[in-house]
Amino acid sequence: MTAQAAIPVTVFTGFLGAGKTTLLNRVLTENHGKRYAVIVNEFGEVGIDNDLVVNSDEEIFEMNNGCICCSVRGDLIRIIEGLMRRRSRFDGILIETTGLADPAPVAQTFFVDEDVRKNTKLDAIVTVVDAKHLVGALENVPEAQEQIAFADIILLNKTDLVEPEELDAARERIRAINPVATIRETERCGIELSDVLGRDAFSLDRILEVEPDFLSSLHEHEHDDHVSSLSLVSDQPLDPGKFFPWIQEIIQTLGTNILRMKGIIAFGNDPDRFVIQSVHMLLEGDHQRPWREGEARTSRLVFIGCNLPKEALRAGFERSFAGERQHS
Amino acid sequence: MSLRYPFIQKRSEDLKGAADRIKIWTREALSLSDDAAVKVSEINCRDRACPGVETVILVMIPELPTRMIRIACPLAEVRLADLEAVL
Repeated sequence: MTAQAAIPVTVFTGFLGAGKTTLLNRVLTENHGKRYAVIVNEFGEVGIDNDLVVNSDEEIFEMNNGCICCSVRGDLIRIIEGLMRRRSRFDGILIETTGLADPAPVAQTFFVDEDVRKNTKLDAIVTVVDAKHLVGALENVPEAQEQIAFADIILLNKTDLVEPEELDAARERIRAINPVATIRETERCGIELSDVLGRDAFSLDRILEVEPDFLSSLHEHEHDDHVSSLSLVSDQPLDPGKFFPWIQEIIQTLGTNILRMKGIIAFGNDPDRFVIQSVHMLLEGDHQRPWREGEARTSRLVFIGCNLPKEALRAGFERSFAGERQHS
Repeated sequence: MSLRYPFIQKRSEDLKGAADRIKIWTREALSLSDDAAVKVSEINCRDRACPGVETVILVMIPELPTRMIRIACPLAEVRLADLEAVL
């Protein structure tokens, strides 16, 4: 008997009124050949009503003495358990969160709970933001910055309601928080659904695959956002004996201040790319594939977090170089 | 050169067997119906403020608050007596 494939789970998050229910309804009503079970926070807004639409109550469990890293969404565990008894009836799961939801416990649920890990895989976190109200939301709603920070795909929606310079400012603000997410600019969530579904964004095989040239531009604009990002790049090979202790130490030291981290690492004398990612302190890494003939062996490491000690991180990265420092 | 796999906590079949055993013990001890879900996880947080490896059992009965049971040892080392002691 072959094992059943893990069910992909897409999380829709975003600010109140940004358009995530519009997106959800498109997925549920358009003919794309896939069937979805849906976990919503409010019945009545979605375009279908059947037993595969389940209401959630956003119940957060602290699995370990209040530690944020070990917080999971109990309601999702319970609902997914129930859905798995009907798994032949759907191809994927969509989760819609409230505008005030912290995305971390949602993501962590898919790494911490054994049964959820076995039966499902987190496909992507899609954050819908309203181009008109982005700046206000970032300043007034703390969760807004975190929803952008955790996103793999950001729908910058309602672009028809803003002037080009407002759109530029919104794009820049998003990039300062999250330089690795794919940004899609939309009116009324008009996007190919294949651009938000089936992305496999949490797969180590696809780390930093999205927009691979993002590091060619600097996103060093300073804002008052408590969430920001740091991108480190080097063609100097890294020493695993220095890098692994360092990365584990900083993950422990910075703790919940790290929201997400992604990296592709080139170790000296290693034919393979090593890829790592973390959600808070949940850290995973593996060899990905051999470096290709003629491919630049460039290490890239991106931190997204609160109050990042950027100079200390840069210095620690450079101390992990296998040889003498060349450049960063 | 091949590097060690330093981060991911591999889930062996032994661990799955241990988790299944704990689920059965919990169901029997609490006389749970099929409607109830029992989840067993090993939590090994990197936060220095957190205790060491723990086994966390969630008992989810419809219409009731979820009950969390914590045992201060790795999942594979949980014995029936450990569970009975905290129920």
